[in-house]
Amino acid sequence: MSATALNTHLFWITSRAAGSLALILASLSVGLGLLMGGGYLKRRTRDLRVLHEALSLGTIAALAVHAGALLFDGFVHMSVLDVTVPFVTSYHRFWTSLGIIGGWAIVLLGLSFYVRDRIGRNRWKLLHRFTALGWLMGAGHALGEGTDAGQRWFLASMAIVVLPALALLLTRLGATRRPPTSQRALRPL
Amino acid sequence: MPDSTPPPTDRRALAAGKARAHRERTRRMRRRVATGAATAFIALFATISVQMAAGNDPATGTASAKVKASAPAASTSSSTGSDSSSSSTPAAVTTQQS
Repeated sequence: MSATALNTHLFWITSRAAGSLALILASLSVGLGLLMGGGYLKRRTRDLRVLHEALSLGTIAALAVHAGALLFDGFVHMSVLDVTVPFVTSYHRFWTSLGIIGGWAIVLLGLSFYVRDRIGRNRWKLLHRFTALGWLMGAGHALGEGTDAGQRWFLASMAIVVLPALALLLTRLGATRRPPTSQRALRPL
Repeated sequence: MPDSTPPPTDRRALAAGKARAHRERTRRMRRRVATGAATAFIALFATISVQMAAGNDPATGTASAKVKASAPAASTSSSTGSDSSSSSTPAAVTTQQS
């Protein structure tokens, strides 16, 4: 590609790469969180928590680049409101809004970790579970609107990181819905 | 039997050492995640750039899409372009009309 073409599409390519990276990091972070929460990883939890936090902060940074780069792109001409407020933009309104809501959920719920003492630990734990919903919205946004959604490399990389995390989430939801064995035993026939 | 509990000063030093080791591990882990994320970003950026250079980018369109885009204009101007094979030679249609 010529230097002119790269210059012309610089922010567009940056936004796409950052969006894909955000989804990869978010999937890894959600997957790790589910592994820890589900009791699959019992050793070195302190270190794993640090890794979980670092992946979450990486996701937030990638999301900021993903949205920020669009402001400078000369093709889609998005404003600050277009990339931060749902249902403002006319560009793929539904999928863009889904991404914005998911992005805000990830950012706010992720950063709420630092004020968990003020929120209350139990309340924070309850809120923290909704991060997975934000991640799912992001995945929906990427597949529904993402420019690279039809590309083999994109689908393969997403399958590697998104599917395991999704399987863990479904397992966790299934386990939450199913009452414990002791309660089932007490239930009248 | 000797007392195995370390004296308070040793315990404090032990705790400080553990905390220092944890801080160091944390820093190392954060650095690794940042390096990995930066590498992944560069790889993704390069993949998209190469895709664009090859003309297979879904955003800027493929070579075949460009031909398809120019085909309706050619068939409209000739007003006889019902044959799909004519779409590959829009220049010839223009030459005939002129």
